[in-house]
Amino acid sequence: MSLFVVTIVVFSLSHLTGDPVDAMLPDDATQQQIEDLTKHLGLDRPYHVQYVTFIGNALRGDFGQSTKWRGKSASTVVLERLPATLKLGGLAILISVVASIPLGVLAAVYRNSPLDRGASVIALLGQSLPAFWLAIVLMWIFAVTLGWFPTSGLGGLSYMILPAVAMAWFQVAALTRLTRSAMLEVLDSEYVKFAKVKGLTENVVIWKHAFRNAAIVPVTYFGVLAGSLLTGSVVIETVFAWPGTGLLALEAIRGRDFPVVQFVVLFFAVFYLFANLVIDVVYGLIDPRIRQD
Amino acid sequence: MGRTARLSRFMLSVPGAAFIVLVIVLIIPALFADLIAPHDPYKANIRSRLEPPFLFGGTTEFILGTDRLGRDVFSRIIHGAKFALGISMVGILLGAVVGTALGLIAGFLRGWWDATIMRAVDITFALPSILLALALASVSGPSFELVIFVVIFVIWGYFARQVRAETLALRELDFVARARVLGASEYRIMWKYILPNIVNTIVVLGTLQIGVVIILEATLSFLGIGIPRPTPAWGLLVADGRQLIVSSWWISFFPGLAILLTVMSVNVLGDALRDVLDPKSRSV
Amino acid sequence: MSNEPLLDVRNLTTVLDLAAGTMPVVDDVSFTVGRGETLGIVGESGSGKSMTANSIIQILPKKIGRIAGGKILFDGRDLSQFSDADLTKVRGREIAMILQDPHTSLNPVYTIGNQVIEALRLDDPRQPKRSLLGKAINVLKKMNVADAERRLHAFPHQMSGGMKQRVVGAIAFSSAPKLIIADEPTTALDVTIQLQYLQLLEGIQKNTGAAIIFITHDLGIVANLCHRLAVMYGGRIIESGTVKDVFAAPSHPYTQALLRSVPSIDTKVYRLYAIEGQPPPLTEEIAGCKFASRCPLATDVCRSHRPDPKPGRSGAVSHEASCWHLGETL
Repeated sequence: MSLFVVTIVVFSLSHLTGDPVDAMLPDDATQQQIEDLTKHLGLDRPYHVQYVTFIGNALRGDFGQSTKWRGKSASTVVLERLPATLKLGGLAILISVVASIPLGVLAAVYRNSPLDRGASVIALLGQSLPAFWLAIVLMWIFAVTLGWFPTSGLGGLSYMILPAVAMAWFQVAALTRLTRSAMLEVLDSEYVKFAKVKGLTENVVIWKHAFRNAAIVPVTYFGVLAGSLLTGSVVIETVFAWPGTGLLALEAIRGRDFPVVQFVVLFFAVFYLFANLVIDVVYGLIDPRIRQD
Repeated sequence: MGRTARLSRFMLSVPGAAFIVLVIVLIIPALFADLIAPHDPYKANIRSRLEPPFLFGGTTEFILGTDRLGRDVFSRIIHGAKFALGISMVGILLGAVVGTALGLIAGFLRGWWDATIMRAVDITFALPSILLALALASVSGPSFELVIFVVIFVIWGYFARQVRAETLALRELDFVARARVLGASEYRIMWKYILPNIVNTIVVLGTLQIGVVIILEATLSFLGIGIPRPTPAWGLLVADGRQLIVSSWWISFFPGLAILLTVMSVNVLGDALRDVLDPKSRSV
Repeated sequence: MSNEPLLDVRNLTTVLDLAAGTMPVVDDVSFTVGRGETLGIVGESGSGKSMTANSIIQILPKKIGRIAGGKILFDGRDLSQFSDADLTKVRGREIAMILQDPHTSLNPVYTIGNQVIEALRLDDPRQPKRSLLGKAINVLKKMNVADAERRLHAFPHQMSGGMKQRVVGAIAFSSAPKLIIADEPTTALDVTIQLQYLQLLEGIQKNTGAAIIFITHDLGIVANLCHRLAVMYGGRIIESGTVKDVFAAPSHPYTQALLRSVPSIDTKVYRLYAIEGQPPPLTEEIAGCKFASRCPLATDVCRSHRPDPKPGRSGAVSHEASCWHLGETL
């Protein structure tokens, strides 16, 4: 259902994005050339017919030919760029999880300690830093001034660190906050108290008994995380000239390459819905009460 | 405690400091830009191109330096405050109105309305907002209306969800049933009985969204799909210096700092406001 | 050695450091528990009875609660001086605890088997789970957990409250502790199940020789199960003695009020008699007797001077009460 509406939105969006025929032909094209191409692309038919054709083709994985990158199908153009985005996004997710889960847990365990206050400052900074500016500042400090990393472009790990950190920053803040408040609630529970009086060490009480329950909250956030990393990729890839799908989306829209735009938007939306589906499954794995129903 | 004592205690607290920062960075510049700004934010001056800031080899003439057209960065940031404040106020107001209205309808009429509106919320959250903006911008070109539209699109769902949840809880309460027995119309019940009880929630949510909206607006402008040039919107100012970060860092740095300070103080104030107005959601 | 009590709490004072001030929740409390003995600690909610229990095993609210004075001599060692690591070795092994609400004391995301076995391998967490399955089943069977083999794979939410509390009991008894602290273990259970559960505890106690501290507001439990009792009010013990002596000759006006609705020890229905007024807030500093504000017998001396323990009306050596008007009857 959601997917259906998304396809309609995607379909109509691409028709709002200006006439692709104008973009494909040179400025001095004749009226005949314009009409031929319009007919060739099926743009002269009524919208609902175009929509059905679009869906039919989409189901077969055919989104038409890219108009900007000649000779390639839209899906090829996007899928070629996908690995770069997934690599960067994966590293960003890794950084967010590795940094925020321990920080959130420890902030809750040592509540009101300097560590907790430090975590809340990080959380505040994360929510308040515009990603594009952070990206530029990181580049300025660590790439330009200190020269530790390359400034931009596609490459190995050294190329990925700065963009991934810029991308992860906001998520670290959000996840730390979520983990901390979930942990605080769980640490207050009777089963944590009981685990303690059973004679378990503090580490087992915290990580086995408390964290497993608290983890339910951050896991539900992963859906949002996946979605915002895609959005983030547009900004971060632009700043670091990282040739992934985010940068591609920007290029495609500027070039009015609407089959590519359609595919990117649809792909992002499907990715987001799929991520949420996976989360429902993981959620059940963590919490047996849900698995039962 | 006397009034002055209370006031000075607030000013010394963290939210108090945030409030002072907000007034200095956003509100005063937004309201009195023409009086404060030392230079015309739009006027290019070829002779004073890329002047560094005062203390970094520059002069007090251009405290925060100049951009590649010789425009005063300080003056442009001050004028930019107008757009940050204006867009976020208008966008949140409209988003809150749309979201609250639909949330009320969903929670109060339930049934088909509820299902449709909540599904729409889900879909809104599933669509990448930046891509939507990109697509729209390529039709109309960057514009204020576009930014406002995207802001509404992004935030209305949060209001709708929250308002619906509270409406669902409120409509079961006695005083609503009593009003219905007394013959109040559904419209009147929504307006007179439900809405006043969720105003606090809306205010808190609205405040917490200001930071989100300012960053969203700046991001769109930065990507060239938000506020059109040559308006000195903060996001555009950062974009102006992006290619020059190697040589003239100040062009990007200071506008971004203005965004950071503004959003940070709004977030601190939002949390404080939530603790006061909406104690049940107080973060532990 | 064997004459020495198992637990000897001396002048224990526990405070909570709150924004409003320091609140003594346990105020100069002394009592003993002998080996194999059952002590009932009775009081209204907020009387400090749970805090006394939590102080012994030291699970006070982090950063807020602390033991401000006194000694907790357990088997000759002062637990109040123990480090966290040393306490961990005492908890679950020598002192076990049963909490009030079985619905929340078991971790919802782990199976019963996991949570039982975890307690069985405290000393060597690397022991394979398989080798402990038989022992786990045994432990559950001792607490009459029906169908124990299958229950090992069940999650807490799949069991009834009574069954869960039996699991909690099984875990508590699993390492043959010398002392069990049961903090209102049957309050959350149905009345019919309450009795069964108490009989189970009693049976296991007889077999293992563990001492039990029963925290309760239910005088019926005390009469049936305990050898001695201590009545708490406002963080202090105001009367203590053998169950027989205290029930026969309640000496403190508060105890008298508590027992007033109880016709005889043999009847099963004993509930707290409602006393006019509320206990004073614990933050309030009270120089005299804490019960004075609600006591019909109170005079000026009650309000200004704290009464020391004096021999109770039964005349028995172990029977003591702290009141200025021990001769008078409510």
